[in-house]
Amino acid sequence: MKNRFLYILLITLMGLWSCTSDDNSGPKGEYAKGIFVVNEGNFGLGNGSVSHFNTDTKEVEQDIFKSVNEIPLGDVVQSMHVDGKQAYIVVNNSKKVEVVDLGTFKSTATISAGLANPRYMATKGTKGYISNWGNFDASFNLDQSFIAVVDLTNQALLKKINTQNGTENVLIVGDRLFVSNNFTSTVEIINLATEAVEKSLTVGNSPGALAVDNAGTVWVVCGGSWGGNDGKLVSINASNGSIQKTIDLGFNVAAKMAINKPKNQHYIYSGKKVYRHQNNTVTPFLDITEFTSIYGIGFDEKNGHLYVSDDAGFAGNGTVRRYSEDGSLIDSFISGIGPNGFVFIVE
Amino acid sequence: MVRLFLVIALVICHCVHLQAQADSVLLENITIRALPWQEFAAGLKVASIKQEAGVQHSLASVLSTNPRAYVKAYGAGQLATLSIRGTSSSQNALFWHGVNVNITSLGQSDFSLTPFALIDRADLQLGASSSLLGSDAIGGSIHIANEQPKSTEINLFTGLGSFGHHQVRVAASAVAGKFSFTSKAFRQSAKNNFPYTNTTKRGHPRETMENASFAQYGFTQDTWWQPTANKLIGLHVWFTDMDRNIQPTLSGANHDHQHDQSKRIMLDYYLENKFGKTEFKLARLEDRINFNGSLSVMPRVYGAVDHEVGHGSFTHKIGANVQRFGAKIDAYGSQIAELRSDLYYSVSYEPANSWLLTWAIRQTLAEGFDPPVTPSIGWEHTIGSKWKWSGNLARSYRMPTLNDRYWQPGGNPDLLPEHGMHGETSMTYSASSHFSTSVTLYGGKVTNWIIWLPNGSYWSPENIDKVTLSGVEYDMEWRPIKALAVALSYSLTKSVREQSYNPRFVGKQLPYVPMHQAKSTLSYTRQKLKANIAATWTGLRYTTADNDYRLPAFLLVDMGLAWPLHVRWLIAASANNITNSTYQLMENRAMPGINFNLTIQHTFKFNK
Repeated sequence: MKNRFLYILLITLMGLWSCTSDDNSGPKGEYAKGIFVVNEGNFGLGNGSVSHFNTDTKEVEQDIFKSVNEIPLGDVVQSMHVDGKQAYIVVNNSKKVEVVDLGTFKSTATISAGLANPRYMATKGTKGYISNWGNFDASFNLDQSFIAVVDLTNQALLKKINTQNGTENVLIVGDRLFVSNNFTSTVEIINLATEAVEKSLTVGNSPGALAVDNAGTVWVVCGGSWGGNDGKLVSINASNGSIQKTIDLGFNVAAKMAINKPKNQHYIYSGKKVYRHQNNTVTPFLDITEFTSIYGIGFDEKNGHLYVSDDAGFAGNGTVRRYSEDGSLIDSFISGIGPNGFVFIVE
Repeated sequence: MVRLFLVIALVICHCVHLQAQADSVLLENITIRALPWQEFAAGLKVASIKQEAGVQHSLASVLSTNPRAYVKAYGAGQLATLSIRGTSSSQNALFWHGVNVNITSLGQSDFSLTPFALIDRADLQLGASSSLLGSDAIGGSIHIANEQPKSTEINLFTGLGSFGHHQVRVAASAVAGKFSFTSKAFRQSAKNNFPYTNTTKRGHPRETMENASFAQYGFTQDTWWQPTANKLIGLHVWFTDMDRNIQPTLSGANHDHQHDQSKRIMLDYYLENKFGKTEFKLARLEDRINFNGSLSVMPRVYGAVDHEVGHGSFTHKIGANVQRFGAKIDAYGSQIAELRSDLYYSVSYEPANSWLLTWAIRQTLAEGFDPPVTPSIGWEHTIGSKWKWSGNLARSYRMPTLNDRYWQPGGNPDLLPEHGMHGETSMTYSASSHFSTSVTLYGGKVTNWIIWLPNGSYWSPENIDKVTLSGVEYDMEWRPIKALAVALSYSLTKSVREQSYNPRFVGKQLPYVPMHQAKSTLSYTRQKLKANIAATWTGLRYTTADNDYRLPAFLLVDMGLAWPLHVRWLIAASANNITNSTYQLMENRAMPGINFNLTIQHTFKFNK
C-alpha cells in the first residue's frame, strides 16, 4: 500500500515536472516522446496496434491505442503520420484514419469519408492527403486509386485526385505532393495549389518509400518486378520534377526505406539483408539470419540508431532490433504483430 | 425441389412395387462394415458421432460440442476445420465410404459442408492411424457412410430455426429382393442475421450480422445389389452444393462470397468365397470452390483393391490403391495431374479370448517423394469381465498439399512429408450397462511440420517446426436409474512446439488448441418424451504462436426435447447457448447467442 502511494506520488510529481519544464507548444503526456512501432496485425483479425518504446527506460508498451481508448485500433494498421500535436494512424482494412493526440494517444477524430484501402498520409496546414489503393472487386481487379484530400478541421472529404494503380507513399516537398504508384512504375507529382496531377514519371517497377536528401532531392525506392531482380533507387529533382539518377540494384527489395540524420545515406532491405546506399554505391550492411523476414526499417535521428523489425511469420509478436551506424547490434525488443514501420518523435 | 420430390416418390413407388413382386429370393444380407479397417486397429478409439433427435446439423456444429475435437469455425455456418488431439487442420481426414475426401488443394476438409441429413452414420477415430488410413491421419479421422437399409420407408423432415434457418429433408429407403437403396435429399438456408456485441467498436454496440447467409442443398443415393449370396455391388453417389456469403470479421466489412460443390461417385464390389473376402472400389471425386468468382476445380480418380483372409486365429489383409489427382487452379499456373498409390498390409491375431493384437504397415508411393514406411502395433486385453487395457504405437505422416507445392508464387516443390511417432494407452472399466468409465493417455511427436513463412515479397512453406503432443482423455457414463443417463468427458491437450523457426515460440502451446475441454450431458426419458441438457466448456485458446494473445474460455449450454406424438410423428425442439454466452471459435468471428430450433418429422413405413 505504502509502495503504491509512493509510486502514485512519483508519477504525479513526474507529471508536474513535465508540465512545468515543457511549456512550449510540443505535445504533452506519456507518449510525447520516444518511438512508435506501427504493427499491421493479421489481415482480417483486427489486431493491428501501435507500440511505444521509451528510449530512456527501454520500456515497451504494447497496443497503446487500445489501452487509452478501450477499443482495438483496427484491421491492418498501415502507417502513422505525425504533424505537430496530432498523429494520424491509417488503418487500411478498416478504411479509416484515427486521429489521436500525440501526447495522450486519445482519439480525437476518425476520418473515413471516401476512403478505400487507405495507405499513407501527409498533411499541410488544415489539409490531409491520404493515398488510397481503391477497392478491389470480387476478382481482385482494382477500380481506381486516388489521393483523398481531407479537411482536417471537420474530417470531410474535399476532393479525390485520381492516380495510377496502387498509390502508396506520399511526400510533400514545398507545394508539391509526390506519390508513388506501387502497382505501376510511376511517381506522380501533384500540384497542391491546383490539386491536380501535373507530372507522371516512370521510375522503376513497384515504387514505394519516398525521402528527401540533404540536397533537397527526392529519392524513391522501387521494389522491382516479379522475379525481375530489377530493384532501383531513383532520385528526382524536386523543383523541376525530372529524374536525376537511377541506381540499378540488381535484386529486388522491399519498397521501404530509412534515411540517416545527415540525409545522405539510405537503408533498404531484401529478405533478411539490409543494404546501405551512399554516393551511388550500395553496400551490404546487415544480414540478420535470426529473423524470419524483415518487415520494417526506420532511423532514429536523435540517437543515430537504425531500427529493423522482424515479422516472425505473423504468427505472433514481432521483434525490433536496434543497430548503431557501424552495424553493431545494440539491443532488441518485442513489438506487436507484423511491425511494418516506425515513427520517431523529433523533439 | 418439387421435381426432386417427384423423382424420389416415383422411384420409391417403383421399388415398393418391386417389393411386392419379390418373393422367393431372400438372401442373407452381406453387411460391409462401415469401418472395415477397425479390426486391425486395436487400441485406437472410435466413437460414433451423434446428433440429438430431430435436429439436422453439419458435422462441424455437432463436433463443436465434442471435447475430443476443437472446431475452428470462421463464424456460424462458415468454414470449419478441426484440430484433433492438438494437431493442425490438415492433420486429420474425412473419409466417405472409406475414401479420404479431404480437399486436395488444401489437404483438409471443411466440416460445415457435410450435413448429417445426408448420412446414416459418422464416426470419430482418435489418434494416429496412417498405417491403416494413409496420409493426413495424424490426429485422427472422421468417417461418414450410408448403410444398407432394413426396411422400406419414407421420412419427411422440416425444421425452423432462429435467424431465418429453414431445413427440409426427404429420405427414402427400400428393400426389394436383391436390391436395396437409400436416397436422401436435403435443403437448408439461413439468413444468419444474428445479433452480437461488437467489442471492436466504441461503446460495444449491438449489431446484426450481415453477409453471413447461406443456402445448401444436396443428395445422396446409395444402391446395393446382391446378385448371389456371396456378392454385393454398391453404387454410392454424393452431391452437395453450398452457396454462402462469408461472414466478415468484427472489424472488417468485406462482401466475400463462396460457392462450394462436392461430387462423389463410387462403385464397390465385394466378393466372399473360400479364398477370403475381396473388395474393389472405384471412385471419382470432384471438389469445386468458387471464391468471389475465381474457380478452383479439384478432380480425383481413386481405385482400390484389398483382400482379407482368415487363418486360424490370424486375419490378414493386403491391399493397394491408386489415385490420380488433378487440379485446375489459377494460382498453379498450369493444370496439375499426378499419381499416388498406397500399399498396405494388416494382420490381427487373437492368441486367446482375452487378447487381440494387431499390426499394420503402409507405404505410399509418390513421384518425387520418399514418404516414410508407416507401421503400427495395437493391443487389447480384457481383464476379468469389467476391465480392458488397450494401446497402440504408430507412425504417422502427411503429404504436403497441392497448394504447398504448386501455389505460385511460393509453392515449394522440395517439401518433405510431415511425420510423427505416437503412442497411447487406455484403461476401460464397465460394470454392466449402468456404469462405464475410461481413461486414455497419449503422447507423440510430429516433425517436419509445414509452416508458410514470408520469403521476401511472397510466402513459402517450409518443413520447419517440431511439435510434441500429449494428453489425457477421460469419459464416464452412468445410468443411476433407467430413465436418467449422465455422461461426463474431459480432455487435457498439450501441444507444444519443441523446435521452431522463432525461438520465442519454443515451449508454447499451439494456437487454437484448448488445453482443457469438458462436457457433461444429462438425458432423461419419460414414457416417450426425451429431454437432454448438455454443457460444454472450452478452455482458453491462444491465437498466436507466442501465446501473447488469447480467446477466453466459454461455456455453452444446449437443451433439447424430442416428443414422439405417434409412431409416425416426431416433434423436437432445442434451445442452444441458453446462457447467451459471447464466444469466438476463431479470433474476431462472432458466434450467435441464444437460438432455437423446432422440427417435425413424419415417417411412412411400407413393410408392415
